[in-house]
Amino acid sequence: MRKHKKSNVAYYFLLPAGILIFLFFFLPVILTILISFTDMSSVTGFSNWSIVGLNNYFKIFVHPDSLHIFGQTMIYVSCTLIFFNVGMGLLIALLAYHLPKRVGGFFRSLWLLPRITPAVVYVLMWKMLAADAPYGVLNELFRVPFGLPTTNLLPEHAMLFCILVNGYIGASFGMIIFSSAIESISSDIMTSSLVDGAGIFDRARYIIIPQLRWPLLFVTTYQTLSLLTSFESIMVLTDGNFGTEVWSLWSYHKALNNYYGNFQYGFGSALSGLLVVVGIVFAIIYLKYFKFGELVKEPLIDEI
Amino acid sequence: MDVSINNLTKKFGNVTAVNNFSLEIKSGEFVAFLGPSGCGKTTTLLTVAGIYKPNSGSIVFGGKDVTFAQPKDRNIGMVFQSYALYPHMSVYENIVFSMKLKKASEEDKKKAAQEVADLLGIGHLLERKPGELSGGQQQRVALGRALVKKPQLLLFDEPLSNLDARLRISMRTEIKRIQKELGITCIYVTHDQIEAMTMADKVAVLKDGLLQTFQPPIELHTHPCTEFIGSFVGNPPMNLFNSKVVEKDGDIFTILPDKSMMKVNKIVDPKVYNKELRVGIRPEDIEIVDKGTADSSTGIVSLFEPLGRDNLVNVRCGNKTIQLLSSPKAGIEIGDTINFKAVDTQWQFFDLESGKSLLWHTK
Repeated sequence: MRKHKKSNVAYYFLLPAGILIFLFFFLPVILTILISFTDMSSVTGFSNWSIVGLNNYFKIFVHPDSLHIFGQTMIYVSCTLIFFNVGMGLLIALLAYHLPKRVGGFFRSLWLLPRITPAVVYVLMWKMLAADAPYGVLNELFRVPFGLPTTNLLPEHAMLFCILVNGYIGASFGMIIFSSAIESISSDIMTSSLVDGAGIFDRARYIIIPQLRWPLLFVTTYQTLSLLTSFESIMVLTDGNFGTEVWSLWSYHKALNNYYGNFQYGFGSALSGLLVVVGIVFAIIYLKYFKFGELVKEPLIDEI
Repeated sequence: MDVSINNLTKKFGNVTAVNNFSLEIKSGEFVAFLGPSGCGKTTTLLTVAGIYKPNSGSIVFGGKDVTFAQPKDRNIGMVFQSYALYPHMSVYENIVFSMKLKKASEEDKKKAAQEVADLLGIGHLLERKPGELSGGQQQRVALGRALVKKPQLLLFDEPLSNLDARLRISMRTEIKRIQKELGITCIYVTHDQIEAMTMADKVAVLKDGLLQTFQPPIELHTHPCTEFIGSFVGNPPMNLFNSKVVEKDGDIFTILPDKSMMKVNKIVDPKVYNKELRVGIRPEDIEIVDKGTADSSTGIVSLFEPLGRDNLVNVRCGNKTIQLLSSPKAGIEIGDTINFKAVDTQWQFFDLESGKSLLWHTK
């Protein structure tokens, strides 16, 4: 009898996706990191650059803006994440579960509106919301009638608006994931906890949320990484003014779009490279904190 | 604790799941709700538990109206078919969950958990997670979780349906033992008539949301007051066919599908003669006779199933198949022609239209 050979067919099936991932995800990261070791910029052009080693990283370290931009990034990421992407997402999912099915469904689909509105239109709507009277909705409706002085609210509360703008988009992602996870908890367990003496708050706290550990880990990790790297709505909203320059936007400004016209590709790449490292560190902390190992552990079952 | 359910009706949209259901359960009684799937038995149970609110009617626990009380204020325990253990908690945490909600002290919790663990023989499992237990162990834990509250009413929703046959029999005995030991009032929902018959003091049979009967299990078997009960209770099921009862020379007879006549004892006289009605006879009440007589019937064996102790024999009788039990030693084979005769005291007669028994009128 012919000996059964381990089949390599699986690898051929993985190849097309593998090539795409390599070309469009992996290679750009490598290129970015390689560029970050050079002094490439508009001044050097694409031919006269030279390798400068870790110089760009050293420059970041001593740059006067680094610390407060890092601080702003942390505030922006953590507030959006905690209050909206995870917090609000979880809250809506829990609320919608306790509403009658049709009402809950409607309520949830409302929250998808910011996500399906074109980003620029959506951000402009926020701008109009915050604008000075008579154009700004908030001023016109809540300040003018009370004789309060009006002003453009955006520069005054720039970071708050950045968080709100991103949060209202981001919350729906967590909401969808958490909702389906809550729906998948067996109705017997839900009933059982009520019979055991839990009210709906106790049930949410002791029964539902602990069973959402895996979706919580996923949403937290995924959203941290996307908040660290996405900057388009801040760019449209404030373009980094009024203390809202976050790390990824800084990188973009340095490398591709700045007032002085000298695009520092090398320095911008180093900023991006550092962001990759920060993202990885966060992901590792989350995996440890949520005890990912335990989640994927095989169950042990024995006889009666 | 006495439980009384009064004129309970529960609708889901246009569907009436439970229809004007009334029942009085005495303290310490073990009551089974028996019926096919979709008959409203689980809905009734969940309404008693307070998960569903009824459209009309009331539920009274020991003189106190609890119709609209929250489940947590009813002091009940519940055991589910799916066990419904909390997967993220250890066995110990599962058992003492209700005490934790009541902010009981660590000591009390330990003591109570130890008590039920001893009662159920699960002491060695307390540190495990539900995912690390077998089905039988999970069901014991679920029972322990229900018992630790010292409930006044224990509700079971098909608790043994997911277990294998052997385990089901031993758990049946165990649940019965614990119930007697603790004297808890129980409602036990099942579609398995053997569970209902073996465990319950009284059985409530439900069909399409309506209570058919509420009586002790043995009466259910011997005195079925509707055709539905007759056909649903008993294994193998009762033979049923349309026929008449006739009077001849002072004796009464019923006509079998092959036009042969069988004697009916006067103690089961339906007192309706020469009128089409529904005739029932259980397979175990038909015996095989060697020689054909005036009140026996003849038929060809079309199929037989060995059940171990007995063989279930299908016999063609006119245009119907009659099932009867025979001894495996009788050596009957497919194609054999056999003579058979019913035990004349065991006939059941039902009205053709209403399905009500013409012999028994208990409700």
